[in-house]
Amino acid sequence: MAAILIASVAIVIGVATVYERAYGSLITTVMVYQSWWFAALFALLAICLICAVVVRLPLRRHQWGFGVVHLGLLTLMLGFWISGNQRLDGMLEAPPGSEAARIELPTDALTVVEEQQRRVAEFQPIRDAGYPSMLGFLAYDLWADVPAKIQELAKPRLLVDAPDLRVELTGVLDTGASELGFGPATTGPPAALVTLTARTGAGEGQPFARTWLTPGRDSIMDQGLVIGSIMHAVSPHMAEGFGAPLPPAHVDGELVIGLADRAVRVPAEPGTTTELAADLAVRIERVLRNPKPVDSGLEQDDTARIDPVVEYSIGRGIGEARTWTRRFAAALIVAPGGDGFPEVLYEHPAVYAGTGGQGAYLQLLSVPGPHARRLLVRWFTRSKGLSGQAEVQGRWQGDLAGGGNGPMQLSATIDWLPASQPMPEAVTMQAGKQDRAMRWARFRFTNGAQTVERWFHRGEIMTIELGKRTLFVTYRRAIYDLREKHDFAIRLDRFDEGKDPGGMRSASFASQVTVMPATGDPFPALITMNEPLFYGDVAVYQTAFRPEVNEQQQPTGRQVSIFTVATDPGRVAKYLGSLIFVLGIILLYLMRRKRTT
Amino acid sequence: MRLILLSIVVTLLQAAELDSLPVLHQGRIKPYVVAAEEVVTAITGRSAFAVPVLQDGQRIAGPKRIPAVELLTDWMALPQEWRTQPVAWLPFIPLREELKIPGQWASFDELSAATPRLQAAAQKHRDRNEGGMRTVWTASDEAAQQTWGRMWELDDALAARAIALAPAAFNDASLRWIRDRAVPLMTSQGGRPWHDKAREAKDDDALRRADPWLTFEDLVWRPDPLLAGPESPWTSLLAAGEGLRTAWTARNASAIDAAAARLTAELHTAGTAHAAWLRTHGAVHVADYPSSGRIATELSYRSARPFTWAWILFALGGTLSAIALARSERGWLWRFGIMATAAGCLVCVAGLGARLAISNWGAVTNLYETVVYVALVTGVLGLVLAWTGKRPAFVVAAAIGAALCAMVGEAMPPDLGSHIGQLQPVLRSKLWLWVHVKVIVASYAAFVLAWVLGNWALIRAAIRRQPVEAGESQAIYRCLQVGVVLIAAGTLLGGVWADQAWGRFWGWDPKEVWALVILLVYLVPLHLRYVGGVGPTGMASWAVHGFQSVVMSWYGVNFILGAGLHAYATGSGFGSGGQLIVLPLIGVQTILAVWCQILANRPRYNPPSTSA
Repeated sequence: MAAILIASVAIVIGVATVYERAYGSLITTVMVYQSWWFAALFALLAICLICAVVVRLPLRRHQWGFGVVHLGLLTLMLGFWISGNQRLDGMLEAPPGSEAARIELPTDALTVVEEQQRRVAEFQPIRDAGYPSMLGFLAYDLWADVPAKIQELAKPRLLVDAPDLRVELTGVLDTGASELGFGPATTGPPAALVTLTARTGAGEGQPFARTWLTPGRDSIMDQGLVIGSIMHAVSPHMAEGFGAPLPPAHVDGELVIGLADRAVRVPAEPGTTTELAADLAVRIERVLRNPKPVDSGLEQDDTARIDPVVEYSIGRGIGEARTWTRRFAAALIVAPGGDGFPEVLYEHPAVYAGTGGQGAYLQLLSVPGPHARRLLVRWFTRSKGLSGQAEVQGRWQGDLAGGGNGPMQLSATIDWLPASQPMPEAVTMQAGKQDRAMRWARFRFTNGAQTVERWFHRGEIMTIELGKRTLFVTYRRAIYDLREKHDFAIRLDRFDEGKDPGGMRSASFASQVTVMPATGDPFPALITMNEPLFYGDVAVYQTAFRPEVNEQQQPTGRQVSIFTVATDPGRVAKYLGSLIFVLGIILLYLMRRKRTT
Repeated sequence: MRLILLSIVVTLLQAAELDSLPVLHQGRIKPYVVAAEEVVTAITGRSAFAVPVLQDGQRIAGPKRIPAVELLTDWMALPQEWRTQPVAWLPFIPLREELKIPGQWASFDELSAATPRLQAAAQKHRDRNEGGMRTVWTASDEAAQQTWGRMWELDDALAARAIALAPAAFNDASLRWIRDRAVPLMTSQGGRPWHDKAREAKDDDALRRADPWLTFEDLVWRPDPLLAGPESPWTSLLAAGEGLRTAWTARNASAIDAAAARLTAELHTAGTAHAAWLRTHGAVHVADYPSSGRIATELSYRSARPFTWAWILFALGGTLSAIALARSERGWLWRFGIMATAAGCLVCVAGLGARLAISNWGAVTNLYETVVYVALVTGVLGLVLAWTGKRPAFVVAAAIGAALCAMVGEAMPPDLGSHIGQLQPVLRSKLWLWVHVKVIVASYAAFVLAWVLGNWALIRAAIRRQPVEAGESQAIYRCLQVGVVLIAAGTLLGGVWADQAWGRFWGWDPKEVWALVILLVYLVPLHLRYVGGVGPTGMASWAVHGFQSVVMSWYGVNFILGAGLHAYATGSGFGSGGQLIVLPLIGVQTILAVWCQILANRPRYNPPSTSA
C-alpha cells in the first residue's frame, strides 16, 4: 500500500510539473496542489504512515529508527497542512520614502462602492477560467492545441448578496490580449477584425497578425507591414470616392476631395490654392510624377515605380488668420472630423517608408446602408498604389496583391461586425506564460428587475449605472494590509543594488528600511537576499526591484523595492519534522548496525 | 584584401603577456585569453577558428587555426577588413539558404544585408517572451534570432567594445573630469558605451553606481579624445594602450609582450584604486580587483584542462580494474586501476578547487560543475564503498560512472558552465550553496553508481540467463540507501534555504518537485524489499529505470521543462538540441534494461533450460 501511494504521489507531482510547463506555476498551484484530491492523496499517505508504525507497536530496538523517521514525516506533513490553510504569501511594493503596507495577494477582489457603503468580495477565479483538470490535461490538452475561449459559468458565482444588490461572476477569460476585443451586438459602433496570413515561407497558412479596427482606432500591424484604419462614412461622396480608382495626379490631373455634402475636384497645379468653403482651402504644394521615398519624405526619381503623388496642405480660417496644416501626400478624400475640422483619411503608403512603414496599406470604410452598415475595403501597395477593392459581407478573404521586387506574400481576412459591443478577446497564449495572462471577468449587477452585465479586466475601475444608482466598481488583486492585520508598515529609505564590476550584472539586492510599528518607535532594518526581516510572525524577504517612474512614466533614477511578505504558522512543525526525520535516519543507521553486529 | 588577411592570420604571434592581460568580460575580471575564447566561441562556434578562404566562391584550404587572442585582437585592429570575412557561425542550413549565404560562416556585411529577417525574428522572440501570446515560431526563426545576437556580438568585437579594460571613474579626479569636462562635450545620443552611462548619471553617486568601464576601443585602438588632455587621470593608461597598439601594428612579439606587461600594471593600479575608492564612498559588495596570482591560477586552470585529464584517468581506471576483475586477479593491474580512479578524483578536486579560487563561490553552481562534481563524488563513493564493503565491483562502477560524467562535462557546450561566470544574487550565500547544493548533487552520484551497477548486473544476468546475484543486488541497495539519505537531507536543507531566501519552505517549484520525485522513486524499492516485492533483478532494474528521475531533475527541469526558480543554468542552443541526444539515450537504455531483465528472468518460464 505504501509503495503504491508513494509511486502515485511521485507520478502525480511529476505530471504536475509538465502541467506547470503548459500553464505556469500559479494555475498549477490552484488546479493541482490546492485541489481536494491532492490533499486526499496526502491524507491517505499520512494514514498509511501512521498505520505502518501502529501495526508494529511496540517497536523493538531496531525499529526505533523506522518509527522516528515516520514520526518526522508526519510532523512535516502536519506543518504543511497548517501552512496550507493559514499561510500568507504576497508581494509588497515599497516606493522610496513612503510607507508601504498593502500586500498584493494571488487572489482577486471586487470592490463596489456606493455613497458611504463599501463592499469587498475576494475570490479565486482560476478554477472558473477553463483550465483543465490533471486528467483532462493528460487525456487531451497535452496532445491537442486547445484554443482559448470565454468561459461562461453555468452556475454564476455569487460575490455580493445584499438585499439591494447582488453581484455575480458570470464569465471569465484569461487571455494574451491586453486590449479590448469586440463581439456582435444589435446596436453599437462597427468593428472589423483583420487577420494577416503568410502565403509562403516557413509560417505558411499561419496567422501572424490580427487586430481589431474600429472608427478612430488606427493600428500598425506586425512589424510596420500594414497600416490599417476604419472610417465611418458620413457622406455618400466618400463611399463614391472610396470605390473609385486613385485620381491621376500629374500636372494636368485633378485631386478629388470629398466633403460632407459634395466632392470637389482641384487641379493638380503646384502653388495653386483652391477655396473649398468660406474658411477652408487646399493648396497644391508639389506634384511628383515618379516619387521615391527617402528619409526626409519623397523625392522625384525617374526610376521610381510607384504612383504619382500630389503633396498639398489644408488651410483653415479666413484670410491672414488662415493656418496651414502639414503637407499631405496624395490625399484623396477629406471629410469633416468630429469638430468640423477636415480630417485626412488617406495618405499614400509611400510616405510611411521613411518611418519604417512599408508594404501594404489596408483601408476600410464603414458605409451606412438602408438595412445595415456595409464595409468597403481596399488596399494599396508601395509599388503599385491601389491594388484592389471589395465589399465585405460577413467575412472576406483575399490576397494583398502587389509588391515591388516580388509579389507580396500576404492574405488578409476581415471579419465584419456592423454593430458591436466591447468584450475581451480570447487569444491563446504560449505554454507556461498563462501566469502573465490578462484576466477578464464578467460581473452581473442586479437590483430587483434591474440588471447590468459588464466585462472588467483586472486593474480596471468602472462606473456602473444601475437604474438611478451609481456604483463605483474596482476589479483588481486582493489586498492584505499589514497595518490593519499586523500593526506595522515599512518605509524604504534606500535600495542598493550591488553590481559586479562594470555595473552590468546584479550581485546583491539590499533594502535599508524603517519599520514603523503602530505603537512604539520606528526602527531601522536591513533586508537583503537570504537575510529577511522578521517582525512578529511576519517575515519580509527581498525579492526584486523595479525602476521608479513618475506620472509621465519617466524613470526618476530611484528604485522601488519588491518584497515577498509571508507568515508561516507551520514553520515550527516543518523544522521540528525535519529534525526528527534526520534523527530517525541516524537511529536507523545506528540501530541496524548494532543488530547486524 | 584576401592576401593581406592571409598574411595576418598565418603570422601567429606568441605573446604570453597579452594572454594574461586582465580584462572585464560579462561581469568578471579574467585573463584576456579566456575572455577572447568566450567571445570568439560565441561568434564563430569555435574557440580557435580557422578563417575560411574563398576562391571563386569555393572554400579552399585555409590557414591553420588561429588562437582566439590573435583573432580577436586582429578584428579590433582591422575592423573594416574583417567585416567582409565569413566569421559569424550560421549552422542552420535552411536559414543559410533563405539568406543566400553560401558557407557555414557569414560575414558581418552579409548579416547586415539580412537585417530585416533577423530583426523580425528578434522582435518576434521578444513579443513571445514578454507578451506571452502564442505565435508561429519556427526553427528558422530560432536560428535567425540567435544569428541576430551573434551579429551584434561580432559588431561589438569589431568595434573593440566586447571587452572592457579599466573603470572610467576610479578616483575623485577621474570622476570630476568625467562630470565637468567629458560629459559636456558628449553628443546627446550615441557615442561610446561608457558615454551613455556617464551622460545618464544624474549625480556623483549615480555615476559610481553605474560604474562605466573603458573598452579596448577607448584605450587602445581608437582612444577616446574625451579622456585625453593635460593632467588627464588616464594619461598612463592611454600611453600603455598606445604602446600595445603600436607593437601590434608592427607585429613585433617581444614589443607586444612588453606593452601588454605595462598595460597590465596600469590596469592593476587603476582597478585596485577603483575598488578602494568605491568602498570609501559606502558601496557594498565590491569585489577585490583580482591579484596577479588569481589571474595566473585561471591561466593554469585553462591550460591544465583538469577535467579532460579526469575522464581519461577515470576511463583508464575503469578499464584496468574491469580487466582485473574479469580475470579475478588483484595484482598490479587492479592496483593501477584503483590508483588511476583515485588520481581522477584528485584531479577533479584540483579542478573544482581552482574554479572556486577563480570565482570565489561554491564551485558547484551550474550544470557543468554539477556534472564534474558528480564524477568526483561517484569516484570517491565507489572507492569508499569498495573499501568498507569489500566489493571490488564498486571500483569498476565508480570509475565507469565517473568517466561517463566527466565525458558528458567535456562534451557540453561552454555556455552551460565550463566558462566560469557570475552567480545570481540569490545564490550568493556561501553556507547554503555549499551545504544544500553539494549534498543534493552528491545523491546523484550515489544514484549514478547504482545505475552503473544495475546495468552491469542486468547485462551479466542476461548473458548468464540467470537472475541478478544477491551480492550485486546488495551493492545496489547500499548505493540507493546512501542516495536516499543524501537526497532527503539535501531536500530538507533546500527547504530551510528556500524558507530564508524566498519565504517558503516548500513551493512546488519544478526542481523541488523532482528532488521529491527522486526520493519517492527510490523509496519504493526500499519499501518493497521488506515485503519481498522486489528481488535482486528487480532491484537492479529499479536502479536503472529510477535513474531517469535523476536525469529529469538534473537536466530535464532546466532544459525540457525550462521552468521554475531553480532554472539558472538554462542555456541557449543546447536546450532544444540536447533533447535530441538525451531522450533517445533514455529510450535505448530503457529497451536495453527491459530486454536484459526479460533474458535474466527467462529461465523461470522455461524449467528445462534452468534444470540444464
